[in-house]
Amino acid sequence: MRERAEQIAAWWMGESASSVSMSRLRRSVMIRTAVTLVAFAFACSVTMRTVRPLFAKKAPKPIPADTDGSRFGVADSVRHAVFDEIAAAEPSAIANGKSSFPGMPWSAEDHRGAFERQTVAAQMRKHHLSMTQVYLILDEGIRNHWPGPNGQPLNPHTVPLEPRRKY
Amino acid sequence: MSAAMDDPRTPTKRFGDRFLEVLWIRVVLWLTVSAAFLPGVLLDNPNLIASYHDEHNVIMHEEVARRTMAEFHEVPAWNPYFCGGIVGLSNAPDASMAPDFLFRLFFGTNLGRRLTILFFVILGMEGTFRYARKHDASVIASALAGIAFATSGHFMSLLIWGWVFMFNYNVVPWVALAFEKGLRSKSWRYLGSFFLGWLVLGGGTYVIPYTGIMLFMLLLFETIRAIRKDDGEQSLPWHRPLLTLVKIGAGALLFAAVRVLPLVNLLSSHSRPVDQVDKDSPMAVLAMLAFSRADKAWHNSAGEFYVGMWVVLLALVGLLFADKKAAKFALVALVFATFACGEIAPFAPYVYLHKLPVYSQLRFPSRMLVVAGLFVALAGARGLTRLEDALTQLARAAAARLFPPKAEESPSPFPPLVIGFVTTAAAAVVAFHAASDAVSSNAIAEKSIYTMEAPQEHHDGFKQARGNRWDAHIWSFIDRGSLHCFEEHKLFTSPYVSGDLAQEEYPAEGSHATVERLSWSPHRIQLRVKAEEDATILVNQNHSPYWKSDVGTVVSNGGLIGVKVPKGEHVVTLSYRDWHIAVGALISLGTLMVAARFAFRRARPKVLAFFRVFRGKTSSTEQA
Repeated sequence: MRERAEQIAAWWMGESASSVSMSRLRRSVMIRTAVTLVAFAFACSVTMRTVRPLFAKKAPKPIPADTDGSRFGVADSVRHAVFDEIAAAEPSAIANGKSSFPGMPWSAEDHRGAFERQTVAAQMRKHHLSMTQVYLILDEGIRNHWPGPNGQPLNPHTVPLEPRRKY
Repeated sequence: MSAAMDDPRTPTKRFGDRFLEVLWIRVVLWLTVSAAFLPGVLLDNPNLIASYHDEHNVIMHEEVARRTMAEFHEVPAWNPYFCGGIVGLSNAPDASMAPDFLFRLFFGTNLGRRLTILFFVILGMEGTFRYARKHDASVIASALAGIAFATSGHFMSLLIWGWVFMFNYNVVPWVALAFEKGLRSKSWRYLGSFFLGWLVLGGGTYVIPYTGIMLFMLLLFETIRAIRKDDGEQSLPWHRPLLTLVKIGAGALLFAAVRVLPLVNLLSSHSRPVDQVDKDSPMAVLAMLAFSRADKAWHNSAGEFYVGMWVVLLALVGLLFADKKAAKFALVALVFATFACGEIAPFAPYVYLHKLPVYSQLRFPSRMLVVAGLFVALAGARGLTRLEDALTQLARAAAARLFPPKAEESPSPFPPLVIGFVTTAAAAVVAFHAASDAVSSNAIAEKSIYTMEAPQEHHDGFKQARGNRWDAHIWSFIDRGSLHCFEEHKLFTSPYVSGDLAQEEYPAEGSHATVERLSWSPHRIQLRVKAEEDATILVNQNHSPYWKSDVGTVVSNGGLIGVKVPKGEHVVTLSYRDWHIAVGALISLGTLMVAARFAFRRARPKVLAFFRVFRGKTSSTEQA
């Protein structure tokens, strides 16, 4: 009993392999292998338990197919209403961008985009649409040259990239 | 994993060593801690994303790279979904060639990002644990260091910003470990090249330069150690540390050549304008590291890099014990903390660092506190270890006085076991409190970050849209490119790319031709062109010299891709071919093959020896 306890104590304290007999070395290797295998199986089970919630969640539904009178799952009238409201907000967004960054066209345009994002969020809430749907509607309006508040289509271009030197 | 095998600095044997000796037991511990640190990451729907625009930008880049590889089976060298077409792989934040990108590739961008976060946190804990063990910290103290670093405050900010690729800070302790072990081990030099190469492949502007500073300091320490012959007869020649670093660095460049070559090409030709003065007071720096976010009374930035008040105190304990290893770690932490103060004075060290190539393009020096936090955690590990050892010595002295061994008997193993158990338990209690403090202060709570619906898919053929960079994540999911964009580098964009075209490839004004798209992928566009006379065909993307055509010649037309085609009917194939990437890929593949061969040759005898011992055979018994 005492000898066994000493053996366990020696192994526990990390006795080097060179100082032990072959039979003890073999026993030690077998114990280590068994512990490793059990620990590996346990680690796998804990990993599965940890990541399972991520795999259980469903992906967002794709945009519905187009039908007569609706695109992107949104009726024609709603799409036009959404675009009109975003377009109506654009002149003030442009003006705000320019006043915030005078003489810095890219930064002004960047700022306009930030305001546009707020309008898009407002349209999502108002019409119970997803962000993807609202941006698809905006893209449809620009692509098809739907008239903006002044009767002209929205500008389909942006200002070439000119990152600021400090933020 | 015996440190004694390859390092003369033999570790002290302690009772607790066996608790965490088996890797998979540690992995269970790391997973348990990760579950406490990342409930928001692991429990929130992976199809919810953060609302911060940087997260949207990174998701866009990653989704484009994933689609390019998984759906189009191309190397993501060009990103037509942003700015009207910009470089992909060469772009500084690109992580598409990093080993961890496999998670995004196999599980999709959103789910893959969550798994990547978990993977990096575990990797960081394990790497720091091993590095602390290398410096003779006890297993309990080493585990504390791993937890304190991998759950430190900056990772919460990275999650809010969506900079998952910069979780590769967790590879930094592996680089340090590989450098020090690589001084005597070829295998570790290979591993060092792999980890350093991973950082290069992993994207982000900050991690590699910071790692460079760390390696430089470790190089100094090891060179001094070699010159002073601290290891006696086993001391290394003075030039070995430098040679090791050169070998690791060269290996890393070869391994990451697929990104290094195009990245160098980009950095040498495109500026990253930086013109801001960053500075933080020493008090602010201390508050960021040593005070939690709840202690904003100390400073507004308190907690941003928090490694735990207890850990900082344990680091001080290490210094009070005059522990050389703790002092080494504390010195590295101090250097990084000094740099983190930024341009606080005209003679501040960061002022000079900021004049160096690469470093001149960095902002926000306070981010250096991530690495400072790593070394504070390591110094803390040494502090706790010294406490543990001191307690063990005290207990042994008390036991020897209370239970003196009889002369005729060999000493009983039980008192050392009991003493070991008690001291390990005491260290575990301290470590638990210290780790709990760090984890609970920096934990990502459920529904705290991921609150926004992920984009829905819609596919009707690629088109450029005016877009909006603040919600950049939307566009690639709906087959649109966002012309409205932001990049840190001043990449070329044409003012003529347009978001209202009926078709994306069309004849230039004045050219009498028809153009029909036959097929499209990010790097290959096939068109049927019928030209009544010599004509110019335009593609609604920014021009790049790496676009080539098999018919006619590619030109820049107002900054758009133009193809001058001769009269007649042609099937024109435009391809994006960047030779830097092709050559780099060949070098990277070759390096991987050499490394795999080396690993096989190294592992084979060990595996055979294992089975020999398992069967109870030695070379002598086999001969008999």
